Amino acid sequence: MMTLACNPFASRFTKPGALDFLPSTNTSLDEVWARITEFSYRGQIVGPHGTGKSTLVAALTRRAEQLQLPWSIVRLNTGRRGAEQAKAIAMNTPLDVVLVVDGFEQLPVLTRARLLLWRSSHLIVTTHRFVCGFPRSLAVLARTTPSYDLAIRIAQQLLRRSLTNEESLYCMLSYDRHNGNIREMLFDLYDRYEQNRGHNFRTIAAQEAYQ
Amino acid sequence: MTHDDVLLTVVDGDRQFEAGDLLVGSFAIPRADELGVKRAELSIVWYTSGKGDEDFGVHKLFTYNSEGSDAVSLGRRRDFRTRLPAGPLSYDGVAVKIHWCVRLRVIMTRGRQRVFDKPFWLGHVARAQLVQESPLIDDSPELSI
Repeated sequence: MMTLACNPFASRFTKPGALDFLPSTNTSLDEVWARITEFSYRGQIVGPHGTGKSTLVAALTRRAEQLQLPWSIVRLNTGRRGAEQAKAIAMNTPLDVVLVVDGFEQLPVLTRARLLLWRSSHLIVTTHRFVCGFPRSLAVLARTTPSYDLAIRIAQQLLRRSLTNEESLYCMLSYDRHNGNIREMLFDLYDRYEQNRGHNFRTIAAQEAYQ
Repeated sequence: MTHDDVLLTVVDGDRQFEAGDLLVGSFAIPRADELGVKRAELSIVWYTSGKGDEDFGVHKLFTYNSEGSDAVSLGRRRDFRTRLPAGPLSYDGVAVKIHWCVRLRVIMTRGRQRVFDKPFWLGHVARAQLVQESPLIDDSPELSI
């Protein structure tokens, strides 16, 4: 039978929401949620590229859905037209809905300032650098930090097995090469998997992987 | 609900289908009432997977309700047939792959859902071959991933 195997590092498995949020030593989902409620749903999630901010937002969104909390996400990673649409959505979201802006620094300065001024609560942003929430402070809800241990756990989650020593070594080299950007490391693993497919790795049938 | 609760078949599903071929199959959920199945959606779909953005298309959609004026018994075998389109053809590429499947989405009480796929192959596009990198450039260790 002809079957088409999915690469376990394909974007369908690594995009935000597809991966489980893996708590690190300083960030668990319950702790982040506790801080969110403590600060009236207003705050920032800070961390460098590819360290799990969007994945954390996806996990928080699932929690909000379970609690039937009004919650709206604006993602600013879909090009210029997407940014314009995102800006319009962000500015028109009712104040009683929790507005989550993923990629806050990509909004124009004036839009950022207006959001920070208007929304005294119900504003959660992800950002690469700490945002000064003038005139009201914007509490840090979580800091996502890359770690080699986290990178290995993500690779294991995607492969659904432990890594061999050689595989762990490859992850470490790739992780270092990309300065701890786990997203870039996963792109590397995608390529490596394609290079070696049909040989001695385990494939996951598309059907099985989807479910 | 598990795979054992659903009987999803494609006649001659192991062969490579041609564009314009008739795809014939059936499904049944023998314990539909017991499992609280409200609706079943059977679709013939293609989707991409790879490193970038994903794409997706629905070639054909059939819906079956267990309640209302158009209710049917989902416990009984339901046949489906459709003529396959000219494209996109199944493709086992490196940066992108194109998958075809018969997808059964089962909607149960309280909005719970399960999705079951039956993949099949459309067309005869050859599998992509990766060009071997020069060993002088690739200094990373030999690995199984």
